[in-house]
Amino acid sequence: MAPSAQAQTSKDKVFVMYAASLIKTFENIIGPAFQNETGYVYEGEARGSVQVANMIIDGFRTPDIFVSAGTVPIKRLMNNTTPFADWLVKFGSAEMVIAYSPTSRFFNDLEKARIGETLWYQVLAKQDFKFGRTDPELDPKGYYMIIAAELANLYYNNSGIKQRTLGDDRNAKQIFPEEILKTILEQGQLDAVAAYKHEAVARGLPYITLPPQINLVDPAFTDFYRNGSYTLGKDGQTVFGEPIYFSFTIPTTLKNLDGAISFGDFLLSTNGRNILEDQGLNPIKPIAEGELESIPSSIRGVVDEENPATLLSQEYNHNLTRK
Amino acid sequence: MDIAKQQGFSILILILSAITVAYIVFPLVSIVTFVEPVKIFESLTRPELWNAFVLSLVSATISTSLLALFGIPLAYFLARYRGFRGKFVIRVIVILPLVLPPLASGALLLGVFGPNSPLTQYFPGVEFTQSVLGVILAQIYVASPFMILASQAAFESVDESYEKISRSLGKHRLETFFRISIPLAKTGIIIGVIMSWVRSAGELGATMMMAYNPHTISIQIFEDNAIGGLRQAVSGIILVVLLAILVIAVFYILSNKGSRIITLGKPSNGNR
Repeated sequence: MAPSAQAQTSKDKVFVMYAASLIKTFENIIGPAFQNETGYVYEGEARGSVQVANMIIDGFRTPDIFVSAGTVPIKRLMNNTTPFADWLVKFGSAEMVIAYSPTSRFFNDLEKARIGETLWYQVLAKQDFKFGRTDPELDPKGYYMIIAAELANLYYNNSGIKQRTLGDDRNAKQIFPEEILKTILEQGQLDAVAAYKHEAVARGLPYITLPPQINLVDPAFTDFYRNGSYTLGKDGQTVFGEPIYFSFTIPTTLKNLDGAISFGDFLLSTNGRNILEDQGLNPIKPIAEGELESIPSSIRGVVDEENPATLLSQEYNHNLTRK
Repeated sequence: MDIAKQQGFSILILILSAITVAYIVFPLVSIVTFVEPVKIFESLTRPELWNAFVLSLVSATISTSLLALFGIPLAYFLARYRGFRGKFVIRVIVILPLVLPPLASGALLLGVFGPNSPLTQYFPGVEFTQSVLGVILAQIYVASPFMILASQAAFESVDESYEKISRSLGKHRLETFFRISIPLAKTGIIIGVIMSWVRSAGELGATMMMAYNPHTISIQIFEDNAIGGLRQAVSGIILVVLLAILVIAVFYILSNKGSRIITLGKPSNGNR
């Protein structure tokens, strides 16, 4: 990808759009560390990963790097009629948990669930329990929670769990913007929220660990995870349950190629991986997917495993009229 | 009977006013519970907080100046040119930015100024979005109704005969505008200026779309909340409250009440 003529004016700036759950990690630690190490000016914007993909496709944003929760948002860019990305690198794995706060009215019950004395879904199903989560149309965590609940129905052999804990997929009583979700939890408006483990750690919130069969962290259960799914409204794309891999790409909208490559290198470096692990995101051996020849050589050199054939996988049933 | 009615009226006014003030102040008072004495100093001295604060002040000033340049003439036109047929449509257009949710305004502005729009093809070197220019463009759009409507009301309350007298004394319309119309409409225009400035400084929704970076103070507070909840956002909120105090002080000075502040509240005996 040749740098555009505008690369000269923004040569020192690297614009990173990333999954909102990483906001504290990126703004407070990764950004400054990257800036110190490379001299590039870090500029970050956190949003739900699906929303980032939508903004790129709609022409509203032109980031140099897109860090996504799960691979689906980047694959949406790759599969677009005009592709906005050609490859992705998976670099960390995330785990779904139920986070809560000392202000929760059901704090004692949630504590019991945390240490295994009660089942988490029995607490969530209690009368007047206020559970919060993000919009599956904007944020991968939104659809991962729905999928986890579907898997719970199977795992516990109890088909009522999802309905009793979540209600409708886009239950208006539970859905909140990602940026305020943890704040209103802390304010006592909600009793518990769906979260990634690294978010709960970053925010200092206690959390309930879910069984590995349903928390989407363990590649050993990849096949079982596929039993859960959610269909996105925008283009009818169906997301199937999968281990949650945080991944990144350099979209075609980039302005600063050298800076983008530098950031990708940083994420995959020892320093970057240590930071991520400290913050609760498990680093994995980097796995690349897509048009492997398009991956900048310094990034591709660190990649451990390559899967070229994912673009046309049968997972995606698109409407023919999609953009 | 009369005195009782007067007192009754005063009491009613006081009660309603007290409720209004309490409603505004109470949430701010509750901020105190989020202030951790040790951490608040650290939080208040963060460079990014002050950078955001200064950016908001500077951009609001630039936006308001541009709004004055273009908005006051429009206000004069709406107040004076009565024969014009399309006024209803123009009035609807003028209040649209006030009625539209700021996020929607921001999205629409992105359509005009965004990376893929025709405008940016003509000006390839200019960064219309994700830049200070983007902040200003967003602020101008959302604050415009305040400038235009306040100035329009101010001009409408100016007796046209003063302008006509000035013209009959041989002064050009431009001189009349600057030496008669504007001074007579001064208070209303100042209110328009201050409200536009405050609206610009406090703007969030449209700025989030047009220019998430560099951070204005509103976006910094938004991000602080996203990262660390209210505990982290408190320092930005405190700065903005101080800003409100500053704004009222400036308003007093601009409306020539400055002398009262200097004499520490004793009303002047001059001819006002």
